[in-house]
This record gives sequence, C-alpha cells and structure tokens, in this order.
Amino acid sequence: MPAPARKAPPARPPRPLPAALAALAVLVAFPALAAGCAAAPSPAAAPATAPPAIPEPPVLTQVADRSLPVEAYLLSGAQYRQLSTAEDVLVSRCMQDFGLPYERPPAPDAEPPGQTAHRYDPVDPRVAAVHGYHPADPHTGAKPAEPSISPDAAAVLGAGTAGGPGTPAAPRSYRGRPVPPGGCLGQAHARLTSHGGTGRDPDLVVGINFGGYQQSTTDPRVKDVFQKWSACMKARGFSYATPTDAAKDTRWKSAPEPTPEELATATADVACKTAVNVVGVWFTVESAYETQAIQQKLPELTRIKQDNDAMLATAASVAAANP
Amino acid sequence: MLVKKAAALLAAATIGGILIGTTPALASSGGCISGDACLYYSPNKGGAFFGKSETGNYDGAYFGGGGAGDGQAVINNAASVENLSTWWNLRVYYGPDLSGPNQYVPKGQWVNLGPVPWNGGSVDMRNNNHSQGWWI
Repeated sequence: MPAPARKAPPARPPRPLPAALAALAVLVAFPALAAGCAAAPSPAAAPATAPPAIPEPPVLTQVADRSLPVEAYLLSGAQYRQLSTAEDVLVSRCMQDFGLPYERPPAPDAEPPGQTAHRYDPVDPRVAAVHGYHPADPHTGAKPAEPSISPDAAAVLGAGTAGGPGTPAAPRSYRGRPVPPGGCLGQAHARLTSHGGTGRDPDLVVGINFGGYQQSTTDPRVKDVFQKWSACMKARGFSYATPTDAAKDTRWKSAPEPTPEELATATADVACKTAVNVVGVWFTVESAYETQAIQQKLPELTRIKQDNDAMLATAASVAAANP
Repeated sequence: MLVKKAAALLAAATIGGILIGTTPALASSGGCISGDACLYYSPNKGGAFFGKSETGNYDGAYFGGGGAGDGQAVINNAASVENLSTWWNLRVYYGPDLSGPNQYVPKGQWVNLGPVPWNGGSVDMRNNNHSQGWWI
C-alpha cells in the first residue's frame, strides 16, 4: 500500500485558541462553578440547572458489573459485534460477486468492554499492583495484522468511503460490473440501516455519555469526594488534586512498562478511592446527570432505541440466512 | 511521517501486511494507512492527520501531512476520527489507558468528536481524545 499523498490545505480555518478556551468554559459552565468563572458566557453554554438529587451513594469499589442509564440507548460492544458480523457476511458475498478475494475477520477473542468496565480506572488493587496506570487490556499494543488487499479489491470493497487522506473515490464499475455506492461496504451498511439507524451512536446519546461524565467532575459532591481522595493520597506521600491527574501523570506515559513509583502510586490511588468511596459517589452522581438528560429527551431517545433494535433485527436476519 | 512511510513500505513488502519496525513512544506525525485509526485536527476529516494502528495512548503523537494543525499534538486535540481498518472496530477514549467514556467508530466509518448535544446546549468532545482500543 503506498504512503498517503500529502493533503491540500483544508478549506476550514484552524481552530483559534480562544474558541478552544470558550469550549472549555462551556464545559465548566455550571452553577456551582459559575461564581468563580471569569469567562464570558458562550452562546452554546448549557442552561443553569441544579445538580440532580441523588440517593445515598452505595459503597462501590468497581462498576464493571453495573450499567449507566445511557447504555440503554448506546449500542453495546456486543451489539456492534452483531452488526459487524452481519456486515462481513454481506461484504463477503458482494466481493464474491465481483470475483475478488475477501478474508473475513477472525473470530472475536475477547468480550468488548462496556462503558463502565474501565471508566474510573484504576479501581482494582491487583491490577494496579501489576500494571499501574498502564492498560491491562488484552489488546494492549499492536493488534493482529489484517490481510493486505489489492488496490482493485480495496476499491470495490469501498476504500473510497474510508480510505484516509488522498485516497481516490471508489470506481463506478469494475470489469463492466457496476460497483454499488460506497462499494461492498457501503452496500452492506445501507442494507443494515435500511429500517433505521446509521450504524453508529447518534450525537444525542454520545453527548449524554460524555457530557454526563464531564459535568459529573464539576459536581460539588464529586469534587468533595475528590478532595477527600486527594487528602488520603497526600497522607501517603502523593500529591494530586483528582484521580484523573494521577492517571494522566506524564511520567507514566514515557515508560513502556510501569515503574515501581507508578505501581506504588496506582496502589495508593486504588486504596484511597476505596477509603472514601470515590467510585460509589462518582457513579451515582454521573448516573443522576444522565437520567436527568434522558428524561428531557425521552421521545428522541425512544426513537433511537427503535433504530438500534431495527438494525439488530436486520443483522439477525442476515446471520440467520447465512449460518 | 517518515516513520509511517517506512511502515507503509514495509507493510507493502511484507506478506500479511504486518506493521513492524515502528518505534512506540517516539514522536511521530502524519500518515494514515489501511488498518489505522486516522485522527484529524479539523472536523469532517479535515486538516492535518495522524494514523495509529495500535492500542494505547496518543502521547507523543503529532498531526502531519500539511494543513491546519500540522505539527500540533494529537492528544486531546483531534476533531474527527476515521477507522481505516477492514476488520476491527475502534473505540476512542476520553481518558488515558482506555479509561473514561468512549466512542465507537465502526470499521470503515468516521465520526466527528463533537460538538454533541448536552443539557440544552452542547458539549464539545474535541480536545478529549486520550487513548484508543480495538475490538472485533
């Protein structure tokens, strides 16, 4: 495969720094912080809403076995896998029609984690003691190689829809046979989404997943538990304001393997999270923000759920016809 | 760019297209090839870009290829992401080491990293890409 051609300068201007700062201001435009925030209000700023009421947070050390409210509307890893498997069947058949080779992906080797699996990591003392802040995911590092495919096969497959910078568009025909729009991938995608959905999570749901997380970190109850965590860490000789600061410490990133200092920090981090119930409070507050947002958009979210169900039903019918 | 170019040539010359010879943790920039997550500085696959085929953090990565954002750091600075894998689904994570919320980018598809609706306004997910992972 040739190296990509250099891309011409885009029509869109670069994002100026003030815009980025304004976006940041939006993210923290929250009543509890507004008094201390000198930034001018942005037109995109969220309306002032009171922090949602929460029940007494349960004591939790991890939440991998729990779901966030938004996950009822997000496609799960397993559901994405169902869509992918059906897509592979359709693509394989389409490529065969063109007389082109297409090697289907190997069988999955690990369950894709949900939104809560590593959300507040590190949270497991055994993992922290061995991996520190390095991911313990089985797929860490290079992923298994994909088969290289010929330019002809790539073009018919639909590389024009996702070929990276400088890739020519898919041809309209191959050896006299018309190529479907977007190639075989495009055709399979169109089939799977023919009764609704886009094959991806809609922006509304993505916004709740990320917005709830982001806003939870500015919530007074989460900030309070972060302060307690910070004090606990200080007593153990580590100076961080929030768990995220510890995880993002640049010293961990430069080492391919965790250092003894990293392991000690991560171990203290997990112990302090447990000592002050960071995970229980954070998960409860974040869930409350999500629930509040979901209640405001219930009709749209119900339609999104219907679209997801329609895509999965189509995928199931494809799989049933091609055991 | 040179690193990725070398990797691309190597991949082309290697049966199975195995990407070897790239040096992790070294600063690298630009270049998106088949099998990569291609991150762009601007929305709608615009501006400078960076390709990453492995699982892990974006530390030490820089946009290249010319255009807006050329030479800038990739971490917490991408506006759109394209999945150039034909086998693997991609997840882009808000936090380091696959922590925090994540967004799926199915194989062969691309997404803008916001702005997305939130709480009657919007939340801009640009500037919140920290790590990535792959699943079949």
